[in-house]
Amino acid sequence: MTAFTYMLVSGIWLFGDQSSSDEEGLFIYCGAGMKKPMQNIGILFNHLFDIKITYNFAGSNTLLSQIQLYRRGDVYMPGATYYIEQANNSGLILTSQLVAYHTPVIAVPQGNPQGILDLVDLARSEVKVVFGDPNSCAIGKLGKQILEKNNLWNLVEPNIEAKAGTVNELVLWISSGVGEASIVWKSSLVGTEDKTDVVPIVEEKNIIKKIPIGLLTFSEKKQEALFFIVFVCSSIGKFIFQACGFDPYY
Amino acid sequence: MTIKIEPNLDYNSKTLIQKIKRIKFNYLLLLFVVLTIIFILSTVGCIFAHLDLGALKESVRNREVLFAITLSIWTSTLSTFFCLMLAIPVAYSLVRVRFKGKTLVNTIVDLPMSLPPLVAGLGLLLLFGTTKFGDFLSFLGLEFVFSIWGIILAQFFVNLPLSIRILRATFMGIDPRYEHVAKTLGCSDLSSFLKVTIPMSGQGILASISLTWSRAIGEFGATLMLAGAIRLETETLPISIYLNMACGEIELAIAAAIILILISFISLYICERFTKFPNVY
Repeated sequence: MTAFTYMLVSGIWLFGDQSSSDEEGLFIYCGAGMKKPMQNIGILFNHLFDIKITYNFAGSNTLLSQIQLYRRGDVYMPGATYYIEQANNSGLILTSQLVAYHTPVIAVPQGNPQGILDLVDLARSEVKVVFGDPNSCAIGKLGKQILEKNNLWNLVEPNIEAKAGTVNELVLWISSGVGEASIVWKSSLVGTEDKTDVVPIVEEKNIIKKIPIGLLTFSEKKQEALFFIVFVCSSIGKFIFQACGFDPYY
Repeated sequence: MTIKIEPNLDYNSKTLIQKIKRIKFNYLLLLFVVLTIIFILSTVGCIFAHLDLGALKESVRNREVLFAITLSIWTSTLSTFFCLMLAIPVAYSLVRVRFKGKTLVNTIVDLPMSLPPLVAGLGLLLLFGTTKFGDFLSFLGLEFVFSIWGIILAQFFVNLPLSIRILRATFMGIDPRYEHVAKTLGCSDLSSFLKVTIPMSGQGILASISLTWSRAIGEFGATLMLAGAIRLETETLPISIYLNMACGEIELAIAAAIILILISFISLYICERFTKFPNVY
């Protein structure tokens, strides 16, 4: 009975305060991978300037389709500059800024049992490499590009024990020791420090993605939206990004 | 000509060989049941094996997760209700009313079932977000894009064919003679439908409710496209799972998944208890 009452009350509350929500504040299309830092920035921004921030989280490409079709909202923040260029080509972006880097690193289990120091070590036949599927996740595609850039793909590919559809499976495999090395985003290793170690990839050998943020042309609150973008790119915003495992852009 | 009854066709035959044969067949059938159960349980079991109890405790106390649970139950219940309200008359007319082009109509009705939910969501976004029709509805205060009503609409659209299919099969199984008899006894078309057909199809309606509801509570693709993933606004349980996965919070994602599985299991079990084998008239 109490459960029923709870459901009833919650239902009234759920549907009661619907209409007002999208009238004020800013609507932001945000890549799901940036949920943690952006949500914290949103809370802080709302607290400081009393402007409500509403996030819609999804994959960068899903968001792009929504923006292209719906043509409403204020800010777009995808996981890579590629998407903002696409949006820009369709005339959806007024201006954009870079916020942080999405840095690929080599992830190994705690203590680095195979002594991996460089990309070359992934080609050693005794190393159990796990890898993102180049066809289904961004890190897989990028990881393959990095290895190709270093002429290592052909040598590493036979070493790949398993391919994963998402970066989080790779992190899970590495932290449980099932896999001994993988290329993942640095930020996806946050919170697993006691189970994994990071082997950085030298900048010349690496391909580092940049995370942009853009103002949408059809925003009806351009001033507030621009202010929000400036806030995200400020040292406060970048500090929050850093705390969540991203390297801020300078 | 006389028909000779083969002794081994006698169903009640007591010979040992026949008994063994019948038992063998039953065991064979049960083997399929066991294989199915093993397949489902091992898939679900793997999710449970990754459960972190701390994360589950944290989840059930988390406001966002509680919101997602409430929202999921509410939206799937409402969308099931709306599905039923439309599916009953549509299914009934597809069975009883004769009209030209019925095959085509049946095909169109089934169409949303084959659409990837993401595409269904895209279509709905186009219809309700970019056309004059959508503008008119939003002028009336019915906003579907990035709102709770969008979740209900997405679930409704994706599940409607399922409801119709089940109810169509149910109505097909009811002999129209019962309605004729009711009418000869003075019932109008409507009252024979309400007083005879509906009560007789109770089990089918119940089955349709339970299937539609359980599919609605797990709906993800169309919801994401139309209603978005907005924290404390349109974040249902499946979307919460997706967002947690995208941020690498695998423990929280699994905790939310287990909550979803438990809710679905309990509701389906209750429904199954009340669903008897449909009566054959």
